[in-house]
Amino acid sequence: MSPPLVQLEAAGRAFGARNALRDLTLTIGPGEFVALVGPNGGGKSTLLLLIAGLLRATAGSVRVLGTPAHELSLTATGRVGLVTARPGLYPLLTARENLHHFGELFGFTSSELERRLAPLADTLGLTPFLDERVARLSTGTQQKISLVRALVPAPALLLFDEPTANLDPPAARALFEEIRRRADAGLACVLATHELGAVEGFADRALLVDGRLVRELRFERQPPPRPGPLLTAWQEALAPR
Amino acid sequence: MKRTLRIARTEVLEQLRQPWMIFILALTYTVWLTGFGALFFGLDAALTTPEVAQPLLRQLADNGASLDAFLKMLTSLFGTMGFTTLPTVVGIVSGLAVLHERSCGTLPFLMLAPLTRWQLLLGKLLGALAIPFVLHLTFVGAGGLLFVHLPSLAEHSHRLGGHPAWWVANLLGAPAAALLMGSLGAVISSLSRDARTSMQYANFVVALFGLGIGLLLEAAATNVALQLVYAAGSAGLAALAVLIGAQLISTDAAV
Repeated sequence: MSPPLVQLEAAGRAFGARNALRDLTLTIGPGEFVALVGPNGGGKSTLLLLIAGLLRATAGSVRVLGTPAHELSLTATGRVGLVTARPGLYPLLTARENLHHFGELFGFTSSELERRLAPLADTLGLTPFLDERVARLSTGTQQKISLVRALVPAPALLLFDEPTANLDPPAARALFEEIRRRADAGLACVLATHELGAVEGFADRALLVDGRLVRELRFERQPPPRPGPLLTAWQEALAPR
Repeated sequence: MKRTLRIARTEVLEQLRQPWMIFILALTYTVWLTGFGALFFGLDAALTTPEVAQPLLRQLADNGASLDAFLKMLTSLFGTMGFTTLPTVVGIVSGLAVLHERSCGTLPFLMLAPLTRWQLLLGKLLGALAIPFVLHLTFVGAGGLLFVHLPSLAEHSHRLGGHPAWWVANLLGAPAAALLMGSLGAVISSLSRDARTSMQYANFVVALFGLGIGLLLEAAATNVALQLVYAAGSAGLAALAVLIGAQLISTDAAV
């Protein structure tokens, strides 16, 4: 069995006197698609930020790739990718300029980046938009750019914080399908979301989080659910933007 | 250094995509250069024409002022404006720099990159300095070169580019002061949750210069060594501010 990529032991995070998360113990291995579900304010985003190393645990430990999570950015460069509800791009720059900015911060040369970008952009249907300013692109396209940014450094772990919150249903479904494909290819994917139907259809595990780990559900792997009649009609009748 | 320059480059690129911002900045310089130009050339013409000069001198005397004091005040004001505009502009832009990352939602992604906090702050600072510094060199340099040879201002030419101390102040001192104001702005910006906090810093910078930091120049108008000390001191304090700022934003910065 592969060693876990993510390992939390009795981890917790308090903001002042308020405990956002407490006593969380879990492991996530390569190729797993784990969904975090729960009420607003239940700590899903906090858990993702702890794993990303953007927040420090105030109790217990959070290790990612064998390293304390808060040291990740300097020790495990690019091995953890993040996609958030807001794409987090510079609106006045083009998609390509944005991707070069972040890629070069990860130490890639311009030509190396182009080599990595091309197949990713092609797979996600982004190639025609690469030289458009981000402000002129739809939220769905911006979200795809954000996904490419996360994938360029070839991460081992991808974290998604409600990435479908601002997407229309076909774009949201396409993103879930893409995450599933990435997980099948060996990436560990952790996703915070309210889309329970999609979680049941695409994820391997769901963790019900409300200030702590309330319950864990495992799903039998089945073929992806077929889109319903309304989504099918939408996909057939309306061009993607 | 490569990552710092990458941050700076993106900051400059974003500014270049906002031509109105650069236009307004250039307009600021144009307004004061044109204003002082009209004043200096007008005065020079007046003082070399006796029938205009006599009433002017009489009017000054009636107000208890000498021509020399009047010219000293004007040339000093020109130097102060030239010197203080750059730090003020850089302070204001830097005061919003990290906040801009927060409002674009890019800060968490920068924090995930192998980029130290001081590299981020320094990159934002250099990016904020670049375009205003080019404008500063163009306009202040043009002003100095245009006015230094005016015969009626010869006594005061050291405040118009006629002394090495003036060039040290404008080529080294002003950018160093800009780095200092900018570094403090970048720190404030990283601690701000919205533009209102940063705008208070802008207000502080303007007030600080309004109170007369630029007038310090006057005390060292012909002293190259003192100007070098000012520049080095400002640059050193800027480095210190960046390092302290990096510590201040090192915990939970992206959230």
